[in-house]
Amino acid sequence: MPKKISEEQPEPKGLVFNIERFCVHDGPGIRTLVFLKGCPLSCWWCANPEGMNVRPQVAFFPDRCIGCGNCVNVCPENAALGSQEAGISYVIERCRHCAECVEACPSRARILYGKQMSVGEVFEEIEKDRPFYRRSHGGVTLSGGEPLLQKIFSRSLLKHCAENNLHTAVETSGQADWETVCRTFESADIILFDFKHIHPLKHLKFTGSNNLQILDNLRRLDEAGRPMILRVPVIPEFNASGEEMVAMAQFAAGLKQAHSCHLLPYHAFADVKYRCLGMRSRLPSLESPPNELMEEFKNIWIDAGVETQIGG
Amino acid sequence: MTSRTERLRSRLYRNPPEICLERARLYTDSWIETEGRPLVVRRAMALAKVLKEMTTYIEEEELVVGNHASRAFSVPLFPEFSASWMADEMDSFKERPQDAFVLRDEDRDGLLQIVESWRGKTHFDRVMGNIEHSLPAELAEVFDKEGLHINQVYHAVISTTDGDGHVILDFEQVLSLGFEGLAQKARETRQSLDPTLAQNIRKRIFLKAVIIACDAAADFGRRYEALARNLAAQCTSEERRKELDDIALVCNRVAAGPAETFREALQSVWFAFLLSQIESNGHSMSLGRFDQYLYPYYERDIEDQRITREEARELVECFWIKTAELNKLRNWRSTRFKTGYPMFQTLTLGGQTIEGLDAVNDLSHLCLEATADLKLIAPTVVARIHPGTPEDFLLACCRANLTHGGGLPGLFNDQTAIPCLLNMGIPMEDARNWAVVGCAEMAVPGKSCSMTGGGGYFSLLKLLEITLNGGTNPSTGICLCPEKKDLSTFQSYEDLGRAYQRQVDYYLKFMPMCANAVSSAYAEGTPTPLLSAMMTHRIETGVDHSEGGGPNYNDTQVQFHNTANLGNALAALKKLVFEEKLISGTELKDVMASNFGGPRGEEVRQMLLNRAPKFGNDDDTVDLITRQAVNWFVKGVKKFKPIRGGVYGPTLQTLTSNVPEGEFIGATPDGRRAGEPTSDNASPTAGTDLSGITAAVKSVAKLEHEQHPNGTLFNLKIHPSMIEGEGGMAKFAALIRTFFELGGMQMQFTLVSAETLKEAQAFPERHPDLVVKVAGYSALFTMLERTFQDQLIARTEHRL
Repeated sequence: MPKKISEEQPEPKGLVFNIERFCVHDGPGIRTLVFLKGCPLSCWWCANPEGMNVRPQVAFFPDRCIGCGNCVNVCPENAALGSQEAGISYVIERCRHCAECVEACPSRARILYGKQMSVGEVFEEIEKDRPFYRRSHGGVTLSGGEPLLQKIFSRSLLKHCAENNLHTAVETSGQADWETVCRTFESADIILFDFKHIHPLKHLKFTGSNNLQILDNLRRLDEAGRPMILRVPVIPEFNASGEEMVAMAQFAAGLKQAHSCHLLPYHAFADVKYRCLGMRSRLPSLESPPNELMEEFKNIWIDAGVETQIGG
Repeated sequence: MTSRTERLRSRLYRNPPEICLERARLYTDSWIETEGRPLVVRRAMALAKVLKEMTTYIEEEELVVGNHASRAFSVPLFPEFSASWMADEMDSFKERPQDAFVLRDEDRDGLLQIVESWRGKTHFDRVMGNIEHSLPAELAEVFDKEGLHINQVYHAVISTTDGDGHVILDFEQVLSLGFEGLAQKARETRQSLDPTLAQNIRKRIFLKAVIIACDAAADFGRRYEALARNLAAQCTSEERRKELDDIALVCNRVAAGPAETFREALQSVWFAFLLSQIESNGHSMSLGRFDQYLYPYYERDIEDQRITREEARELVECFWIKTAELNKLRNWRSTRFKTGYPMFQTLTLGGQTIEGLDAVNDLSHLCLEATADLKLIAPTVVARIHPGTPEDFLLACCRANLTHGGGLPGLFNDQTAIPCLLNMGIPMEDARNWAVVGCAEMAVPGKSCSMTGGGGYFSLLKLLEITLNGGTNPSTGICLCPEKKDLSTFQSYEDLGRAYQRQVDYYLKFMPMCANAVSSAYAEGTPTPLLSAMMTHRIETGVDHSEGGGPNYNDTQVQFHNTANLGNALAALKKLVFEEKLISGTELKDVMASNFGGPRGEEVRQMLLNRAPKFGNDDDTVDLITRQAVNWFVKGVKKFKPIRGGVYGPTLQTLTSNVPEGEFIGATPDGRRAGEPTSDNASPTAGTDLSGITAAVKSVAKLEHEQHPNGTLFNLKIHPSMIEGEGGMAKFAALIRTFFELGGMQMQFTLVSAETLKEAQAFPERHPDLVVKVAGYSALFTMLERTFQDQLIARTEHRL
């Protein structure tokens, strides 16, 4: 029996936009990923655009639409328009994300990203794959969005998992004040820390925020002896150059502890999601960095003395 | 691969397979000559004539010798099992879309003559005759003689047109006695039988047949000895001459008596295996625990430095290539159910010893290496996994899967299989010695008859369609068991459930009726004296394999098809019609009758697809319904006893039948359109297991696998990127271990990306040797039916 949730009464709820089972690239073993909605950054290359906004969001997938018109009938804001013959359209500006249309849609053409869930409800989902964690030395990873933005929920969920003998990991941008980072991740066994760029201004331009607080948190977690993996997204036009990689690798090599590094090549898989959420990807249709280039970058990091792999 | 085996391999698929009349001619001639003698003796004499006069050849560079037909990958014919279709279909063999064969023009008349001389006298004719007697008169009328089914629910198609097959020979016995030794054993037994006792006359006749067959088998080996000597005499290459001399020597030893060396043992196993497939064309003849019975020879030869590991591996590779040369001509109906030239020659590695210790040895690893490297469709290599299986062996299996891509080795769970066999009353030592036959059937080598005629399959989804229509099958209009209510009038889910169970009970009885008819036909017409000689106890008991009986184990296979569709359909009815009442029974009935046509048709279909839970997502609300529905059948068949003794052994395997079977099932409440394929094996319906691999694995594990002695199959398609690298392998291994810990029986993988499959579909010429997993067997992707290719592509691909 899982232990009872011990603190923060009433039980905190989090806004979760996905729980994905059998993840093998986000921490050791076979893992369940819990995606929390809302992020303080707005990175141009974000692969989970449905996780950026802090509120629930309706997305419309026209490919799945059968034109039944149920959404048009129920939408109180006239954000769903059209007919079977003319096709259904979605006027995002009018949408207040009440999700009436999601309920009415038979074909999953309308999806609501973001569901309020209690720690217990999320834990129940995580618990389902315990036999696989046991065999593979896996566990749970909080991701997002940004877990730090839902700090009370993240902290309680991590604590609850740890108390129930699950291995816990977080994927984070590190963007919050030190006390929040420290308290929220108290029960995390390992922190997958996004290390995006070394230069504050370039960081600001491409993510909406400079990296001063982030790098400060990275240093302090390192000094506190917290196990970490550095996660470096390799993004064309942002940091995919030898010069930038050298600077980042040197920074990492200068940390007190030896943290390994995962180089994560940019991909454009999220383009569809951007469109369906009525959002605009700020890096449209870039090519993924070629394998040879990734190998070159990997060698830069290894030469700097950091254990590095391509992919998570 | 060595350069030799690479060349031998490349010759395999060079030409389209041909039809070879030689066996059929020789067999038919003998049959005419021996009229009047006892049946089993005639069978032995016909075999002897074939073995004496058929073409033998040794291909350039071959080391393991012995051919099936006059050319490699060609097929001998077995008109004694069924013949008339050969005349009916002869013009389409070459052009048919799957499993095409070339019939040479000069052979057409010969084939017609052969067919004519067997008209009305084949196994198939006996089966049809027996069914007429087995079914009550009013039901004999509804038995569809073309489709071989009862109202499309019970299909008696298996084992009606060809041999019984589905056994593992007692290879240890063959290795230790040789064919002369077996003949000698039969002579001694025969002499010891008191001729004054009534029961002995049949035994003495049977044993006479055994002696004729075993002598002929020994002579067959000597023919290769002579052939090798002749070839050596003409050979200009010093190196090849030496190889041919060695072949001659090996054949000589193996013909006469026990094998001494690894190479002799390998040749002896090949002859035994091959001969059992010249005697009869029952497929799924399997190789059993190859790494166990050959290991003593391997170990000794390595220790005595008689052979190096590399040489042994080359020989094993030569053996693998020989198995891939065997082939079989099926009629069109059977072909659609078994697409991709399958022979189901399964070979089992690993597992436990009869003492319960781990059985993995260096030969197990060597076999895995050969399998991964050659990337063939045969033999179907599988591995038994138990908690004590060394991690390095499981990881080697995982790596072999990734290299092979097309599903070899499949993995089986000792922890489910052994209790399953114990449940059947098989003692622990034999249960621990189990190996896989065909797709997934569990058998004790030499002792189990795991097909035993008969076995047919039930279409679970068709039966639901019938239930929802008040007992009438909409596609045939036939109502055998009328219901008072139908979908428009069922009051509750329980009401529907009761009606379905009534239909199950009604239709189940056709299984024993048909199985008895088929099993009897084998015993009455096509005994297999050579195969019997190579099974444990058959010489001692003096009873042919086809007669069944103890002390050997029998179980008659019965297949349950479309399990995931059935579970999904029941769950959708329960939730949407009876609980949430989002769709009325009347509306759903109408909508399905029009194949989701009409103004709300597609909307209803989307609700069925998306608003109801689907098997394969770790959701008890549908998983437990699926489990319960399957168990209605499992429990039902236990009432019956097969003619050969033992039990009816259920299995959740479908081969490629889910495509043709779907064609005659109308629209169903799982959102499936009329005519669309059904789910395969025990797997979730393609494209509906969307909660990750672990969820799919947990759902499948919830079925009661230990109730299925003929196995359950679970196909998973995983994108290769998921498991690359050593870390990936460890996770792959953990996934397998966990499925087995949860009670799963078997899992197999296609580790080829959907992109690759799509490309191969568009440009088959670029991927002539792309292998994929179908059911228990692997096949060349480009040789599969397009609809089935689409199914493989649609099978949910698990990736990030």
